[in-house]
Amino acid sequence: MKNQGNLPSDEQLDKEFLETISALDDGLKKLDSLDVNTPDEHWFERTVLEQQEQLRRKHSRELGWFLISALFILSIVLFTLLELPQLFYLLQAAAVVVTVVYSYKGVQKQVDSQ
Amino acid sequence: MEEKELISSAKKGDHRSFAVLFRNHYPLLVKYLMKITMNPDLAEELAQATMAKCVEKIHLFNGKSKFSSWLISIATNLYIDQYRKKKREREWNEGEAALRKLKWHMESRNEEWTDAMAALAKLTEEMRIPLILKHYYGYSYDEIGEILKIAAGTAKSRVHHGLLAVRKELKVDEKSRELAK
Repeated sequence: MKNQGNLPSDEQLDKEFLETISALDDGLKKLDSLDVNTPDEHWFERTVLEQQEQLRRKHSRELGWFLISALFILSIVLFTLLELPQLFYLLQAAAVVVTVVYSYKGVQKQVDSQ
Repeated sequence: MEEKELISSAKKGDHRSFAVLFRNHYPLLVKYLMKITMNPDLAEELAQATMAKCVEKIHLFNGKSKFSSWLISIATNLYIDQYRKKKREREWNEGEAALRKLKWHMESRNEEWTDAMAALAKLTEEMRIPLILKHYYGYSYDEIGEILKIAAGTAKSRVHHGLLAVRKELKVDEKSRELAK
């Protein structure tokens, strides 16, 4: 935001806007006096239980996807190792090269930014 | 049970402790949301979304701040995210209708919808939220910065600009000058 450097101190600010702050305070107090319908405890318990159940389902789903992905990757690795060893070693070499190149680029960026 | 014990049981997954905590804080949360959104229906909707988020993130609550402050922080960020997503003309018109509803609520309780409230409603969320947090709830600029994920200086600047805008709307300067004459 602009003009941050020209801001008065907290005390100056409060004094300068005393009338405005007090008008805002009065208005907001009136808003606070409105009744809020607070549901009973059972409603809150039910809401929490539903939310906990939803979270449990979400975690199970995520774990399921993780296991399926892991099994898929593992089966591809094993398949290439046993059936296409040349491709397996080529992929391993490519993975090492990509990791080294990216690590080196990362270090270069850090040095540049310093 | 004390609040600390309730939080500790809630972290272990006890739904009854969660329910007691939420029931105790529900009026404060809805009233806070009503002030920042100026929309009673949206305030209730966001209060429920805040509770859902709280169940999910309770393990992250470290007890350094009050539980109510933590709820306020979650609620504020949910509102800001929702506001960013729904920033369209249609939603704005709905906002106008909600404001009329809030005015009607107040007037039906014989409470006046003051000029200051009208001026506050005209402010952007960017200014209204820090202004309310600072001058009604008494948070420091550092705390407001933490809640809104902005620098303390930015929070101060927004409060200052918000006060200037409200004062301009209320014409406090002109009234003071007239009184001085």
